[in-house]
Amino acid sequence: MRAAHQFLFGYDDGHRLLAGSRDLPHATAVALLSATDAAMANGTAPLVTGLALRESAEYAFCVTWSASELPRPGAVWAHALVVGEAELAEPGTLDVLLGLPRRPSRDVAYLGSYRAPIALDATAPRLPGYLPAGPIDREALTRLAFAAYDPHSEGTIAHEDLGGAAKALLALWRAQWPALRGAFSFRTREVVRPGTRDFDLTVTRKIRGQGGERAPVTAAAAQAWLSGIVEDAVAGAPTPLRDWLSAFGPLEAPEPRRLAALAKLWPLVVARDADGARARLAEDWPAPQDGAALKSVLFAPENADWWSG
Amino acid sequence: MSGPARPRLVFLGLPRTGKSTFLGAFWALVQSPIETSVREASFSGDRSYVQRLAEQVARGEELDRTALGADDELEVELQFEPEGFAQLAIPDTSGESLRILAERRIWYPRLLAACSDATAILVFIHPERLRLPQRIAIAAGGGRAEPEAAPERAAGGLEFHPGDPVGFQAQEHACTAAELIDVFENLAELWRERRPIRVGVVVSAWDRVGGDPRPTPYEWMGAWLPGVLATLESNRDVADFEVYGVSAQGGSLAERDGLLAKGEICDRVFAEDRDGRAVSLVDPIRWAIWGS
Repeated sequence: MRAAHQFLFGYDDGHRLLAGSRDLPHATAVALLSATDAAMANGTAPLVTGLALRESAEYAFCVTWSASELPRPGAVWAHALVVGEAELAEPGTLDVLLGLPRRPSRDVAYLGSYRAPIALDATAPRLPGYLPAGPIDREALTRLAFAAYDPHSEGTIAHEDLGGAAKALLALWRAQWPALRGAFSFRTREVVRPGTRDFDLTVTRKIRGQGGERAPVTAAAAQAWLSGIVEDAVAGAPTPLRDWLSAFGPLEAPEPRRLAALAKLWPLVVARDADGARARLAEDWPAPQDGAALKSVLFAPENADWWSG
Repeated sequence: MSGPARPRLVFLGLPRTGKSTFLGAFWALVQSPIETSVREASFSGDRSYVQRLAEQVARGEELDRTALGADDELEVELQFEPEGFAQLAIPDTSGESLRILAERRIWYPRLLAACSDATAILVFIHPERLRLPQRIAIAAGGGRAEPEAAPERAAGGLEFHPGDPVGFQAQEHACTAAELIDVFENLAELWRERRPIRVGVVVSAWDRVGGDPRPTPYEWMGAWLPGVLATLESNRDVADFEVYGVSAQGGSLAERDGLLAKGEICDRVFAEDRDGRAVSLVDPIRWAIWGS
């Protein structure tokens, strides 16, 4: 049976682990304490956090809610689900995982239900309760994809609607190949300081010291490789780009910029632009041994008719 | 002519010990025309965070707790009379980060960075939130009864449930004195190459401390935290030590109307030095920067 371990964090004379389904090593417990705690104003959309736990080869998915019913201002509730790499690999299991976080009820803060692992063989909800209804904001998704994958991006963008951003972010994460998904850390936050690089992608309402200004969407949207990523992330079923990433992504390092490299190559393959593909390979896989399987598949003699066809 | 001093102060304290409230009150005094011993010398930089703290203190509100991952910081150039200019930096550290050090023996990265760079530390203690030594009892039956109310303490001590999947951590229930002494030992190790450093103890909510006569801050430490006091007194080669009692709200938030009736922040806050003499609320920071 595939299962997720769960941990409930909340306020008890400070932000603490209140209940869990197993013990945590100190370093992991501290990482989760930090990942689940955040400044939240009343009415702020639940915050999402994905954290790669490299020491234990696990992954934590967390949702944090404002605990405005508690007497201590600034207190939060957070539910963290910890899974192994195998649980992240299957899209069906992943969807169940995304539906698991739940906020403790206001007047019945029973902890017992947080002390047992949760099976991942249930039916996934159509929409997790912490996400807003409605379609994914494509403009936000485009900006998120650019911030996450562009090699020159700082990985932090300002966005006013954190609920909508969380929905777009999870769609983006879900579309990654499994190894990248397991290494990709992300979060939504009310406010962050510029230059923070602990996460691959941070979406925040305000970047401290700045007016919260947004990068022009045109700068991102003008990049053709992003449109394929956006269309794939919002699609209900895997697209040809997803198949491409699933085939060759696992051969790459699980790094966001490698997804960008594959996504930039893909339109050239579709367009049968051999010269363009060679140039792209030379740029992103410069050493002969880099991307050997990819180069072999694309330019093996038996595939020569692809480029001429 | 030498440039301004560049002190980096760190406010240390377990959760709800008054660190942010003190910072907010201090900032309100810096901006008050009535407090003439310190003023802002440069108006550059983002003040929104500390300004919000000052406004909440002025309204007599309990401040939002500082989240563990918060990275707020006061960074400002001040002019102290008569000492001179200081480019002051005070990162706002959460109480949880100190708890992690005390209970899990792990330096939280932001706290480690702050303490490594610190020129002085102010340790905050709330007199009504001292944790005293407790008995630990093994609960009958091993596992927890269900349903169980959210966080609560067993009357007269702590219950240890052997069946709980999250193991009982005795260090999470250590008394305040043990935690503070342990933290001091960690700091002493951190500062091995640049001793002594200034360590000021700020007993917050000083308006709540009673007694007839009311003890001085030094006497209060001797009565309630004798081990901490002895540790500091016997390690003068590691740290210069001072103690203050401060009331950064000027009274109880539970009696907010009466509190606000006392007037502006500068009219209601107060502080005492180690001997119980009235001093400015600015003095703990002045001492941390310039010494006596």
